[in-house]
Amino acid sequence: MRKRSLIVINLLAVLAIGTGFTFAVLAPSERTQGDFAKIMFVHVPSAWLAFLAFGVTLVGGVVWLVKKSPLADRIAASSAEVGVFFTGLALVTGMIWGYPVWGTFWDWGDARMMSTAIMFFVYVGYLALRRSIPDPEMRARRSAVLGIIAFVQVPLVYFSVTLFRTLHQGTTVVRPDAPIDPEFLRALMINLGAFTLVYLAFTGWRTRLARLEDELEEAEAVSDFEIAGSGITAPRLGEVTGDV
Amino acid sequence: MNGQTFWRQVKEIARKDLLIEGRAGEALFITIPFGAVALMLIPLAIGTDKPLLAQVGPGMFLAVALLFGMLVAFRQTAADSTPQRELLTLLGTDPAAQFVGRMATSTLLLLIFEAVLAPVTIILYNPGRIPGWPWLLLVMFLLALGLSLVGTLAGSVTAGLRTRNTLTPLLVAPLSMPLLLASAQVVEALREEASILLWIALLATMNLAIAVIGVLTARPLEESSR
Amino acid sequence: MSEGWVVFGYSVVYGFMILYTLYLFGRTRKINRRKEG
Repeated sequence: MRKRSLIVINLLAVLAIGTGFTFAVLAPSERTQGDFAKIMFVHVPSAWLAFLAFGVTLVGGVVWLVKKSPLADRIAASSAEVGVFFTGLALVTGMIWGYPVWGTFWDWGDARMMSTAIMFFVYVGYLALRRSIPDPEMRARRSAVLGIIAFVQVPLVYFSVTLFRTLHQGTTVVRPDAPIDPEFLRALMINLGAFTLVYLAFTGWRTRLARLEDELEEAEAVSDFEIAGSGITAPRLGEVTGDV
Repeated sequence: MNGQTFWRQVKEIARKDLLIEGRAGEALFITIPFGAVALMLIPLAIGTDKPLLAQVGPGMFLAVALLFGMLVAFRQTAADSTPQRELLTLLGTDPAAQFVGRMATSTLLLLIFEAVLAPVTIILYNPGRIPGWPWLLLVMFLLALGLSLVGTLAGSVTAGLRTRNTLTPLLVAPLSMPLLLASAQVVEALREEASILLWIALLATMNLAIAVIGVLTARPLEESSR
Repeated sequence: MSEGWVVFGYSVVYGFMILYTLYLFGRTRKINRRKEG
C-alpha cells in the first residue's frame, strides 16, 4: 500500500473516531444501565475488530501456505498484532463496563469475555512464536499453521463457555444484547465504522513497517558478505607503461 | 502412499518414541513425580480444610493433569533434532504419520500419568464417591487424547526453537481450555446426577477438530527448504 | 460515578490508540534512520 493511501486512511480514521465519539455522547441514556451502557460503543467494536483481525491473520496464513507471498505473511502478522491490541481493548472495556453493572470486574459465566480472554493469550503466543524464529520462511510457515489452529479454537471456546453458562444460569444482570433504540444502534454502527478505519490504518502502517524491516535486514545481511572476487583488481597498466 | 503404509509408519514411529521414553524415562520418572508434588503443594496454598479439599479434589486433578501433563506431550525426548527430522523427511515418511505416531505415544504416556496421579489425588484430597464414576475413565481418556493432540501439534510448531520449553506451554494452555472446562463439567454433572452427554460430545468434537488440523497441516509444516 | 467512569473508559481506548500510533511512528523512524546510516 502506498504511503499516500495510508495517510488518507489515517485522516479518515481520526475523523471517524471523532464522529463516533460525538454520536456516542449524543445518544440517549439506556433504560436500566443509564450512561454506563455507552461503554458499549467502544467495547463492542473493539471485540468485533479483534475477531476480524484474527480472521485476516487466518486468511493471510493460508494464502502464504498456497502462494508463498511475503506480503501475505506480513499482513497476517501485522493483523495479529493489531488484533491483540483490539482484544486487549475489548477486555479492558469489558471489565470497565462490568464493574458498575455486576459489581465485579469479571463474570465467569460470560462466554464472550471468556472467549476474548482466551483469544488474547492465544495470539500473544502467536506473536511470541514469531519473535522466536529468525528465519523468514520458517517463521511464515509456522505462524500460518498456528494462525489456523488459533482461529478454529475460537468457536470451540465460545461454545463451551456458552454451554457452561446455559447450564449454570449466569448472573442476574444481563447486558443488552441488541440495543432496541435506533439512535443507540446508529451510534454503535458509526463507531464500528470508525474502529474499522482505525484497524485498516494500523494494519496498513504495521505491514509497511514490516516490509521496511525485512528490506533493511536483507540489505544488512548482504552487506556483511564481500562480493566474491572483490579481492582481484584490474591490472594497473598505466604505471607499468608509464615513464621509465 | 496407500493406507497400509501409513499405519505401518505410524506404528514404527510410535514404537520408536516408546523405546526412547523407555530408556530416558522422562515422562515416567520426571513429569509424574512433578505432578504429584504439585498436588501436594496446592493444599498448602489454599488451605487443608477437609471439606474444601474434598470439593476441589477432582478439579485439581484435572488442572494438574492439564498443566503438568502437557509437559509429557512435548517432552524433550519426543523432540527430534534437526538432523533427525531431515532424515525422516529424506526417508519419505509421511509427516501425518509422524504426527499420529507421536501423538499415540503421548496419549499412552498421558494415560499412565493420569492413572498414577488419580490415586494420589484420592489419597490427598479424599473427594468421596462420585456417582457414575466409571464415566470419569472415559473423560480421562478423552482428556489425554486431546492434550496429546494439542501438545504434539504445538510441539511441531515450536520444534528446534530455543524458546521451545517456555513457548510451547504458553501455546498449549489457552488452546486446551475447552478440554479442561468440559472435563470439569462432567465431574460436576455426575455429582449433581445431571446429563454429561453434551460435555462428552464437546470433548470428542474438539479432539476430532484438532486431529483433522494436525493431519492436514503436517505436510505444510514440514520444512522443504533449509 | 456514572459519567466519570464512562469518560475513563473512553480515555483508555483513545489513549491506547494514540500510544499505538506513537509506537508505530517511533519504530518506523528508527528503521528509516538505520537505512540512511
